[in-house]
Amino acid sequence: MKEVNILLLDDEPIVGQRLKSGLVKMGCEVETFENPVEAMARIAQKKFDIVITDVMMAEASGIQVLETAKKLNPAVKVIIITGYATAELAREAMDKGAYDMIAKPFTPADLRALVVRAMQELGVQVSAPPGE
Amino acid sequence: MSSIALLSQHEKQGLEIGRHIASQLDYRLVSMETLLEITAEQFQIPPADLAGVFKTKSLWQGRFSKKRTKFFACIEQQLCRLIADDRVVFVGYVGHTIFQEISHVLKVLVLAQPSSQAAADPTIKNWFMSVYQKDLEDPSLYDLTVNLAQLDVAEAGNIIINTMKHHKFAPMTYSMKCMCNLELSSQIKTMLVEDYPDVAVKSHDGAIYVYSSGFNRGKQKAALNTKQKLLRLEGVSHVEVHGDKKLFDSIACGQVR
Repeated sequence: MKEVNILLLDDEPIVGQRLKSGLVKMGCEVETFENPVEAMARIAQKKFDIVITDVMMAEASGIQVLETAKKLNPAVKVIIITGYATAELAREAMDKGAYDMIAKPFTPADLRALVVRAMQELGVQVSAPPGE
Repeated sequence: MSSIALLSQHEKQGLEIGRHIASQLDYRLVSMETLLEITAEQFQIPPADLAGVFKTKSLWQGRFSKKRTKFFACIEQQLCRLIADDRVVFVGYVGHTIFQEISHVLKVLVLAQPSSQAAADPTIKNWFMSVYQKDLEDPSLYDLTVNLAQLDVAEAGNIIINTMKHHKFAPMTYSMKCMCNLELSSQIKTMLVEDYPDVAVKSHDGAIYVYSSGFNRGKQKAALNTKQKLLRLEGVSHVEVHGDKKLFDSIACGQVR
């Protein structure tokens, strides 16, 4: 199976820790970041298949991360996770090329299901994620 | 898939556009008349009584008219069910405000051809203002306003179709969940509105937040009974019952039913 590279960005460390283990169990290579500037620098260095990003962060917004990721790699699947979801934000994110958006709180299984769908669209066949 | 909620100053022109869109996209066309028919059947309400909600001034005047609020809750619940099924083009004058937070529902206002000399029916305009406290011809309520002064029905329909195909109006996990939440909130509102005409409901993934002045301090029994009743519903995992409107308003679920 092709290895899927995921960048996971959330300024709350607990979110990254909580979500990473399930994605790793699915066979994904996951890099977690808490700082969006550092995450964007990493995106410029490495081609990720999937970027999962929070929106409201002090140093830069998740929308900036989305724009950067899509500019450098139009094929990347960007998943927005946010505790401040609105219809306006949803439309802005989709307009700028987001693959999907999910509102916090959500379960790790919710996110894994989204990642599985994104992986399948990337041509990677995966079985149902653990916990499904 | 996305859906469309279309309001036309001229009902017949709106329906023609709706028919064009439905045939091009293989969508289901739901007119106001169809919505009322389905609602009447579903809730066992005489169709004439239901239609009277919009025509009989005394039914929509008076903020907490029990009959109005019950019938109206049924209509909104039925519309939520239909829109949740996806691939629907709805032509009518409810829904544009309740779907404000649903990003994959395209809200459209169609301005009538000048030759038809048709502005929106004043009775409907008054009704809309009474229920939603908004002007139904206010363009800020809509994602798209189409003026038939220079366009025929097919051209107007094609503009709406092309707008709807834009990625920003595509369904996503968030908007689909919002729709499920809205559907559940509308179901609960219909259940409670006869006993609590000022009831408002918010839902988030099985957590239900209910407000009514009928749950004020000293009415704990009513609140407890309501909580127990709602906890028996499928998909409901948590219920909060509030008699304090300010506290209820501070709960951010992105929707109020």
